[in-house]
Amino acid sequence: MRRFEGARVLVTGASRGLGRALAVAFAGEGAFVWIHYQGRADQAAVTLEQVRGAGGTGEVLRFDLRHKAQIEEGMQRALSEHGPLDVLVNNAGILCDSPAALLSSEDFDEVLAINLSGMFTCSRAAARSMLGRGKGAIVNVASVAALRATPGQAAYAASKAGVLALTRTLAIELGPRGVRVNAVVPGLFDEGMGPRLDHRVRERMLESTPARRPGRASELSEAVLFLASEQASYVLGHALVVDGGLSL
Amino acid sequence: MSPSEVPAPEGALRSTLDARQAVLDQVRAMLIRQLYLRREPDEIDPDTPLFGSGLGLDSVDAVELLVSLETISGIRVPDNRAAVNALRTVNSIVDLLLGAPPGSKAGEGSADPEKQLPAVRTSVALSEQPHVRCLRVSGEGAVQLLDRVCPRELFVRDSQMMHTLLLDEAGTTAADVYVCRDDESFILLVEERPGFSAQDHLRAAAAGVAAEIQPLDGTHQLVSLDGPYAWELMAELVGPHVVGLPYMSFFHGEGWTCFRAGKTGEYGYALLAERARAAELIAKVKELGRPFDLGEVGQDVLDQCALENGFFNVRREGSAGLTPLELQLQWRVSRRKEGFIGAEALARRRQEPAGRRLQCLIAPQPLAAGEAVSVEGKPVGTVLNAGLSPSLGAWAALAILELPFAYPGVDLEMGTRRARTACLPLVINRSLLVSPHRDSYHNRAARELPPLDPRGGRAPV
Repeated sequence: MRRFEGARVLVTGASRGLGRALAVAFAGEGAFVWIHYQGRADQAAVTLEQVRGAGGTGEVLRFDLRHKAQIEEGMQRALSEHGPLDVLVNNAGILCDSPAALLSSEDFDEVLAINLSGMFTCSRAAARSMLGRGKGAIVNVASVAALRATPGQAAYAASKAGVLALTRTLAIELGPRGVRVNAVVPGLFDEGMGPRLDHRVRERMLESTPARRPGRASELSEAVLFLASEQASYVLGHALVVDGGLSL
Repeated sequence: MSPSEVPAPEGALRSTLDARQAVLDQVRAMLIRQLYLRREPDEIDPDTPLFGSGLGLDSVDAVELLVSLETISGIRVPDNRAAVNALRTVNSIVDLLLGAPPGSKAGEGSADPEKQLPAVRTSVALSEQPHVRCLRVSGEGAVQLLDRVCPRELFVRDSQMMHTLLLDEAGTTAADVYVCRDDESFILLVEERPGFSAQDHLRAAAAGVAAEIQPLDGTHQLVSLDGPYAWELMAELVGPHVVGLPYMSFFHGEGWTCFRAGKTGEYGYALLAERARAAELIAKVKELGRPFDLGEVGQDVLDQCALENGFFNVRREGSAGLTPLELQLQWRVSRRKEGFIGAEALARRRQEPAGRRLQCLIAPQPLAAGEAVSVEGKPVGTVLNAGLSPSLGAWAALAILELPFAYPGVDLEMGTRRARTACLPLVINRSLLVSPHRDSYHNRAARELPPLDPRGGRAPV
């Protein structure tokens, strides 16, 4: 029996990287997957192909996480077409590294807008629907940057620390009504932002990672699938650190 | 022209240029003091880039620099968006301290005439680079040989590149070189001035040295990808880790080597592919490039971009028999190093009174290499490289000028036509504002970028 047979799952930022791997992993467990993307329609189509290849079904969904009206509209579609949503994975995020003394307010705001406010708006829409049904799971993708300071990541770290706080608050508010909210805290991975980091930064992170290697996308998917699944039915407001020990 | 015949600026122009020189001196002193540069003030040419190449500063240095500027002048550069334009060269700091000329702030002015801009300025451009000589230098004496020909210390670690020059015995620039350390050997990517052969030059210098010089041109093909979204296409071509490849470094793939460099002011990657793999690789670039509106451009377009950004072009201004001192390339040579080819001539040249300096200019009408330029009827120099700049809607040029006139903001004449000297770089590159962790060519409409032309299309004179 596949763990998400018949379930409807939305993964934000699923056109590539870890988001794509998450979408495909849910599909492999029988889910219908909404593949959210912001800019790369062609890449979202590749994810959809992989989702189908993994034995699942799905559809692409575009909205800009900086625009609340677009999020509302997109979420409305995801919550109504193909039936209500069972799982929301808030994965989309951006980086904008700069020493804090030089970081523009616009760049700071944009990182917070996408990584935190956008996540909140998606979660609010999903929460209302899930509360009505008395069931559902939300998994937020935070980052080890929320736990461990890295120079140049003021905006990113603040946004991801916010994600952890938002996760706990949502968990305590929604938990009594059967909706579980948790977070994963990835370290350095071989997909998504990890490979795109400046090689010098990446080297330093690897040196600080006791596992001595970047994580594989499947290792994050397993954690997310666990938190979204019935196996985690008594896990609420948890931040599951999946970082090879980087934050220790 | 003997020193007694050198014309000198007069009246208001003289006071303006004296004031500019005073600020330039102040900026040089501040850079040396604040950033612990091991350089004499006159080794820091006014058009020296601050970040990436040139002085090679990093973002922490940028913070130090801005704090110092605020302390000494009260001028406040609010953030990274403003800093990318204000802190590009030594001259741009001088401009900042003098009060930037109108329209030089990012974000002002009219929109760019997109249709006329080459892909290298807006998306990604592919170009073949048959004129670049690719050499591998190996053997026990490889370091010794390169030390003989490189005018700067050979501080380059494995997988890193160093940008330098080859000089002839007269100390004049003969080639523009990336020296790339590849484990125990070196890959050299060389642009030569006409008539010069880097391979022959190295062979001659290798007498008595156990070094092998192997041309790679017959077995390999070099192409480059340049543009504000080149990183995104490259990520699809060779994998996302290419995005994190630091400037001036390289890595090997299967049958190819990818160098992060470029001379256009945009994200730039050079791919050196084995001939057997090259056609397949280029075909893949073209296929993947379709959604990026990939343009195929000739060297003339890249040369024009280099001119707009102040990248040295050895095939143009570099062929005029000038030394790095006149060409504002002192950051690529070391005053402390001795014994390299051209060292004695350069040392002698340093003892002579300062003569001329390469200076950028903009004109509303055509300019051509070889033209004489004057100030108030007095000849002050010669144009060495010129071309119509689509980014500016004006003609851009580099001229070698008598030193007293070699500053931005000087009005020049070529017969009845007019030009004005300017501060490099002439454009605000989109690559400075596009972030691989946030942006995508496919989502470019979501980001408002300032026009390339900091003057907002205003007439240059």
